[in-house]
Amino acid sequence: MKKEEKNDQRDEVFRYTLRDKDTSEADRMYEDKLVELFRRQIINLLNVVDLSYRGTPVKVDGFSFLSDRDETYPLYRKRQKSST
Amino acid sequence: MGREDLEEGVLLRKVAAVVLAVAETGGIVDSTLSSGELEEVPRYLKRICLSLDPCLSQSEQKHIKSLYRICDALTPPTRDGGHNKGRKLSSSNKGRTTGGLPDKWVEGSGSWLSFDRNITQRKDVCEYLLKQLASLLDVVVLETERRGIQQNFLQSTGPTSLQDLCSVRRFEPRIDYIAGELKAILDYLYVFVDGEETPVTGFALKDLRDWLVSVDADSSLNDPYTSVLQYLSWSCHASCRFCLHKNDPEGYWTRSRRWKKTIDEIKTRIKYYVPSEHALFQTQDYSFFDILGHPKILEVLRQTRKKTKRIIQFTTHGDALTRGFIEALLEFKPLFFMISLNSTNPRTRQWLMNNKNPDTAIQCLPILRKNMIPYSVSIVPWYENTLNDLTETILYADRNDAYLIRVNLDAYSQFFSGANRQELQSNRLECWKKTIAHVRSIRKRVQTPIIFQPSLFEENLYDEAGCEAVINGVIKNSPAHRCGIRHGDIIVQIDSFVVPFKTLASNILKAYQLSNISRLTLRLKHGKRQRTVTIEEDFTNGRNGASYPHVACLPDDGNTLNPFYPYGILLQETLNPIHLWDIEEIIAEHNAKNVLFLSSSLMKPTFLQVVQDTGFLRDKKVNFWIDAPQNTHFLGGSIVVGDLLVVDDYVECITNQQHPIDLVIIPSTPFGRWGRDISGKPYQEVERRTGIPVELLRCKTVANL
Repeated sequence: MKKEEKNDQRDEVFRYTLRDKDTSEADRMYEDKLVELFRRQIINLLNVVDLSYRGTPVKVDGFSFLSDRDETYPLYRKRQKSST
Repeated sequence: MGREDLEEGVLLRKVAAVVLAVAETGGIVDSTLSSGELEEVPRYLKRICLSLDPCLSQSEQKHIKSLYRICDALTPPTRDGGHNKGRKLSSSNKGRTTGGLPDKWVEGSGSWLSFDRNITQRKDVCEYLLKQLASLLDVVVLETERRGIQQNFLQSTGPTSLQDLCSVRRFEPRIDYIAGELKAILDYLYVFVDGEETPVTGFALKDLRDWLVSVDADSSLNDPYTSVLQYLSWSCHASCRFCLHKNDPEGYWTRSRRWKKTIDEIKTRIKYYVPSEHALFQTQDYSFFDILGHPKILEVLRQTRKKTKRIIQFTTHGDALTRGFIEALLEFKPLFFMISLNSTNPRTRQWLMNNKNPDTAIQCLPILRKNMIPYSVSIVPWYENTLNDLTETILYADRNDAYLIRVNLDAYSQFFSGANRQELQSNRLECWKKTIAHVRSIRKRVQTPIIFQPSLFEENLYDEAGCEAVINGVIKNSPAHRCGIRHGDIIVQIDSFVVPFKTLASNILKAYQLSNISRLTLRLKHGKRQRTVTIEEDFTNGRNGASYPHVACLPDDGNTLNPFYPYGILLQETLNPIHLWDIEEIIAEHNAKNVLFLSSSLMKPTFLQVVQDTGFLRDKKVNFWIDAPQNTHFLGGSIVVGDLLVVDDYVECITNQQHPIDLVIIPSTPFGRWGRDISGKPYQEVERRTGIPVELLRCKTVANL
């Protein structure tokens, strides 16, 4: 798509609401707001991408902060039987 | 393979077409086996053997060997990587920075951000949130309901209202992802403008060029209806008693019928629609409503035709198809109509569809015929309709040279209301059986092919399930019709190429047609008898209408060929046995011992038959169970369509199993390109909620015209 072609007609603006039904409160797993923030963001990301290592998909079911690698926070309530 | 093939150089085109068809089927061509060994090859083997005429010249053999090599490259990528998966950065993305927030968005310029006091001490978290927001602002602009704000990264909501995210969850979940990120960030970070906190209520896409989808990723975007025309659909002037969407609650998938697309959005979609290249992402409008009544239809068609000469299909109840309107549409040919006819009795039709002009659709058939516009008709045999009415409607469509007659077996969602609801939902199977038996009895009286929707129901009922290339019908006046091919014939060989199953036969015929192969030989089986027929296609017939309703013009732009049934041979898709090989690979990768395959209730009999015929997994120490979830959690009711299954249906089915499972395999078709079901949920939820590894089997929808 060339720039000049874009400019010859004004595009319709595609707008989306941030106020639709949100189930994240019901899904809350952790009292710690920051842990919960990162949990939600990771799940959100995993719903659109597959993570991989050297070309091989890697399944993820938890995370830990780099400042405290000993503590792992599961992403989901049910225990995973990860296949990888 | 005849000598004339060699002389005309047709053989190379034929072999090239077959190699492409094999790759499309998911197999690999193998020329190393002799014809004797060929018979020993199990039907489901992924390597498909190709026997060739020995009188090929050396240079032709060289060409053909190079074609074999490209087959590997064309085979769809494997789940663990494969090829052609990554998309290069588009030119519009180059040179962008995501390094920090915009310079203007700082205190002193009138706008600033403030952190939740709970996290102000965590500088690392604050920095993370700012970087996240900066990245997002690269592709979106924030919106607020507060009036009079027009900044680079925050503006007042425009004149059109905000769309719900449910419209993009299935086809473009990255927008849903952005929404999720923004919500999470804005929980901790507040926006101030001129000293006043300004809540962010939405966002707008910054540059639509970022949101173009390549046709390599979604070939349906080549179709002008999918990319543009369907967005004209916003209401339906009929109110059919059998409508699948009757009484769907607000917020369900049909919510958007209340969402009237602006003509500006449609013009924008036309602007970005470049056939064979890309189009704007689809939205989940489920726009099966008639678009012919839209006041701007002719204007939009005119603009769309400037972009493509592809055949345009309309699904319509036919109320708009007056003589004058059909004549106005002639300038937009090639066209194809799928008319919801239902009955040729005006009173019955009006009662059934609650429409104002029941006669128009009935009378439009001969007008379409006269103007050489092909059409199919669909009939829903509503439970109070008589079988006589069904017969009369089929005979009328046949007399007027319909391309195809589709008998839709009526089904009702859990939301269907009315006094007859229980009656309808409880005796569906018996009604369908009666309808199918009746239609089968009149098939021989008509020349127009008749199919059922869903088609597999008939095959299952009459024990015809399997993968052989059974011909489901022949289009009237087509080359196949002229040389006596008929319903029920089985294709066993196309030229020199043995075709052990239907998907391969269908793909070879499509590839032949796209390669303009005008002469081919079929080996057919019917019962115990075998015969050979030669098909000759005159590609100029489509222009002068001599073969109506069969259409087979040579393409002007490479794309106007009849996309439906090449040479007039109707092969309805069924299970591709190559997938058994794919399942074996998935099981081996997981080293699984207890495997559950979740099919659909319609496909399961075919699947079981093929498993039995091929001895699939017989020698492996694997417990392999096949089950079919019920369509309970989304549309529910009496619907039995596998592609309408949702995450909740799969979870319920898995948790009800009474045996150990260490791997679940699910066909990919209910989940679309992004792995989202029809309600927008990602398939990964099945694994998260059951705790059992889930893999998708990449396959194509078994669809009917």
